[in-house]
Amino acid sequence: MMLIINGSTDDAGHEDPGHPERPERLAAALAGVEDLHLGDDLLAVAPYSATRSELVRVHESTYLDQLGAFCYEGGGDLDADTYATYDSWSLAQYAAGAGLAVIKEMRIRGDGVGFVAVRPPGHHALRDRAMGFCLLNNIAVTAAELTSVGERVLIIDWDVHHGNGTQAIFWEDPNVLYVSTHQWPLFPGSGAPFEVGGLNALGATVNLPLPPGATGDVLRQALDETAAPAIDAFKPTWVLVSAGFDAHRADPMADLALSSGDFAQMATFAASFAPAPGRIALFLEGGYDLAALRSSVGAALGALLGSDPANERPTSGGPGAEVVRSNRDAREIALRIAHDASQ
Amino acid sequence: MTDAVSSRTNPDIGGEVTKLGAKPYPAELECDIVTVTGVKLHMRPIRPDDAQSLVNFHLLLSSGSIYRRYFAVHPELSPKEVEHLTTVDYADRFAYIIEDGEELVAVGRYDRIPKTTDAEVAFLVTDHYQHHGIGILLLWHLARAARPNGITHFVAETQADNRGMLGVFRDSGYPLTTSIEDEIVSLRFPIQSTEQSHAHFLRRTTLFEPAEPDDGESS
Repeated sequence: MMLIINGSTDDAGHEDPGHPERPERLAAALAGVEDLHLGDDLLAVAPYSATRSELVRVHESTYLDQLGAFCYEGGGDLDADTYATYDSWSLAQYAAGAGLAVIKEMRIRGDGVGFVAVRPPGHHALRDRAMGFCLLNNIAVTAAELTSVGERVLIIDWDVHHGNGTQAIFWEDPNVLYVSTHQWPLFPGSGAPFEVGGLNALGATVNLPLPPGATGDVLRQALDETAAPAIDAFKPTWVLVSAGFDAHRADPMADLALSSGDFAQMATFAASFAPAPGRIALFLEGGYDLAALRSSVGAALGALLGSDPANERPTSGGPGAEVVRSNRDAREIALRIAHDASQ
Repeated sequence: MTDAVSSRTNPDIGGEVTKLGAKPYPAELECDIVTVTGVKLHMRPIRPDDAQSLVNFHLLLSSGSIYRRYFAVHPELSPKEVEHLTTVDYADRFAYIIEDGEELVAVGRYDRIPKTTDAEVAFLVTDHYQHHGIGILLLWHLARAARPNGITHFVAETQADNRGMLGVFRDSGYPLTTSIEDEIVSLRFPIQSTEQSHAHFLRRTTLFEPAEPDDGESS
């Protein structure tokens, strides 16, 4: 199986000294790819900058203008967490376009696993606002391209933070099923189990919040018991993953307790819903411990490519089993109320 | 055992009226407190030389606690933020810290909203000391520090499901005015000592005051 990755883009211009979302992250993720020793089974597609028409599917035109102008005026802090530099606008457009280039190659080949290794990350970016280190919503740009040609897109977001931007963008879109596992309470504060999608897409949002300390077995339980039935019913034609690796136990940004072996299992879970070869791509989101990021990227991609890096053992025994059950109940009640209200 | 702490001084009794503006370090506001589990802690106004302690404190907080306080990821404090947070004028901007030995375990602060008699109040307590009632004690003492400086009301915002924080305000005895928008609860309340807030303070003092003699500041 071939790994199809976006071509190298010099991302060094998007940096704020001391900020955890830093260029070394991308180097660590790519080191995780190198650890797989793929040889000729690694294909780097040419860098591609998303066009205006591709971006306005998921972002407001005025926001794009404002962000571009902000960067060209020298950049600065967009909010308490999010920065932009002079180079960020250009780099963000390449980050948003990388997924488009990867799926284009995959569609031509009808095979392969995609890895969109970019920064800045994207899943917090809203239609009209940067947020949570994210400027443009990279995975949403690709999902919108796929739905524009009639595909049904499953997005699994296993970043430790809820992907509020992705959820909001596709809230009313019945052709995108958004599934998120994330720590709660935690930034950005959204992602409650009763958030199940808008009236045009009831059930097409699945939120699986988990308490601090939760281990891989609890996440798998949540995915198996709550997400899998919804995904089976949805019948996706493509699977995209918001692959943040900050749920790793070593990550300084949050308090879930996963290992690289857990990411391998979650990747296998995601791939099991791809209806054909060449229909799954991972998008780098968070992950701020460089060693954990490297090992977890290797583990997740290795699981999809049949490689077998020396992963940490999957974890178990953490809290949250009762939360999984109550989340499922809350989701069912919310769906019932929404259905009744829409009659 | 209830979730509360006790102070050796009564902040709701009020303080001396002083003129507005920057003040010297108010050492007279230092005091000891005792948690319901019997742990003795020290409370004092913040100083610029607390900068490193504040950085270390922030690094020890859980991701959830940071989110509850800042509504953001806010992974670390920048040098500019640290300077801002530790350099206060003890009038329009004031902060208390609580120490367990050398370790900073809680911070509470108020910042006057410019050209008003309102001030925004906020607390941050390490995970280990949450649900020990430290927040309510910080609130009372901040109110005591604020009143002589012409501040009449505190305002605060907290997430609607943050029951711990909402409980601090509810249990303070101050009459709350609340509103909710987008899952954020906004509170505003007068901070003058009321019969109810005084009674709440005395109840905790009776329950948890250490046996040793009072230092004379409380009534």
